[in-house]
Amino acid sequence: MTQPWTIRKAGDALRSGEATSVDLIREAHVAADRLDPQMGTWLDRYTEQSLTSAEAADAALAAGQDLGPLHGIPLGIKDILSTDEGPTTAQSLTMDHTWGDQGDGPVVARLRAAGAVIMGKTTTMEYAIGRPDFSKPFPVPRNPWNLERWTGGSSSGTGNGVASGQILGGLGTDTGGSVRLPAAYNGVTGHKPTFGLVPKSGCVPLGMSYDHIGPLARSAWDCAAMLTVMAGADPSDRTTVERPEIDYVQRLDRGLAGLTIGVIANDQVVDGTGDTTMAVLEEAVEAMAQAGANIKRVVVPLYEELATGAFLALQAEAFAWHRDRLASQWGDYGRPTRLTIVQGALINAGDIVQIERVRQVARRQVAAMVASEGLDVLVSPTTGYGAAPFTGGGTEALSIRALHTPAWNSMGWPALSVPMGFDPDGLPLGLQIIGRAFADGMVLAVGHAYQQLTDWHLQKPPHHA
Amino acid sequence: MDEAVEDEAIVRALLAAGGLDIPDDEVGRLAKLYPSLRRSVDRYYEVPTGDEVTAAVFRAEDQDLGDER
Repeated sequence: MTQPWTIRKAGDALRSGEATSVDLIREAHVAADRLDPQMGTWLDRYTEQSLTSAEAADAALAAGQDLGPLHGIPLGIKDILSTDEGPTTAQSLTMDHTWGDQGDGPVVARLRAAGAVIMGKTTTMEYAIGRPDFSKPFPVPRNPWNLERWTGGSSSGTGNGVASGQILGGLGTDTGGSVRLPAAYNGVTGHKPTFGLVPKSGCVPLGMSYDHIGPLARSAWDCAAMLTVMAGADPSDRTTVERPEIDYVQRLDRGLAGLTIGVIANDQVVDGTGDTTMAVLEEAVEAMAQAGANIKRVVVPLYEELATGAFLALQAEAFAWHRDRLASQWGDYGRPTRLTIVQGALINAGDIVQIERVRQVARRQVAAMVASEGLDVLVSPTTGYGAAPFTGGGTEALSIRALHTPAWNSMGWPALSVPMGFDPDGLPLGLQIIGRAFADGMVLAVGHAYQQLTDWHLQKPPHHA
Repeated sequence: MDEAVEDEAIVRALLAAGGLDIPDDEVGRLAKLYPSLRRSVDRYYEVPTGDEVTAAVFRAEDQDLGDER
């Protein structure tokens, strides 16, 4: 079986003359024509605009104007992010379509300026929350490893689009795991950057202090190439932090030798993880140990408070944004969405203050533990199980206890999900790699090193271009 | 008052305070969830936070607002 294309490989082909950007975009649209009706990847495709952009990318490259690794590369954008080409729906009947008139947000603008070609808008869960909803007139994203399984959410279309080879990368957003979960369930790589590294403006908010925009692609190398372009403060988002510019690709090759990796051993993670996933995790840890990493088992202080707090606080923050719309358009929201967001009305102001106070305490305690143990990164399974079926079971997989992602939204620390193997049903499983604030380069380097040892990230699903 | 009835009354009051008038079956669904939601929130009051920890760090100086440095 031939290996799937990556951003890196496609870039090499563009520069060697083996392919043009127009070739890549045409092939991507042909693949989408065939796969999208089953997969539910796209809410809108910008066929003409993307071909025009690809022609311009080819002309620039021919004229010696090489904009870097994303030049001429087809990307998908989750449809809660504003773009120049068209409206942003947030996959909801209630979204004001004029909201997207602001055009490209800073991250999309940066990708475009780096030569990326925007293929279109990918599916999500309504407002990046909720569950697959068959009652609304939007596509339900399906998993390319098994169409009766969910993709995970909420960056569902970007996840299954990359996994099925319709796009080489794309943007997701992550408030409790929405980049890392579809990365894990679809067998691709997804990175939630440090909070404040990547501006969020141009994104329909969910939980304003937990939201992150992050890349999904085949490999850590590809995510590093995207993050290099995406990172950097912007005056439109005052939560962003001025940091030195970093080329994350240049930092990938540090290897694993001498690093200290903390394997999270909290009961909540162990109890929320199936035996097969735990065995696959141990194989991944052993591979990293063989490559020279020191392994420690560690307990993360106040882990459950961090994890649960992300969901509670995001409901309150989401309610603040949606309150008036919920009051006037209750029935137009999907039932799972409205019943999740409205729980923010059941949490009082003092509760939110206390949750945020505990968040501050927990952040200090976790940072102190990581420092005292001398850890370079932490690891855990991204999820306890493979992707759940739409119907007939999978309750363990759908349980919040099986999602090992939200604590890191509360921390704001960078977290990467890379494929680490398969469950007995042939569904992908993800390894989550977590680093200290702004150690995104370290996290990506560990993911890249793991992907030099394994080829889980290069496996093709049955439904592929 | 029966606990379930009390939960439903609380939920109705909180929704009304938020300007929401929603179908009875969904109020019932939220009323069933409410005790576990409340337990989840109450856990946060058991964590020692001391007196100095605030929910958000407020600083009066702000370069964007033209403060003098």
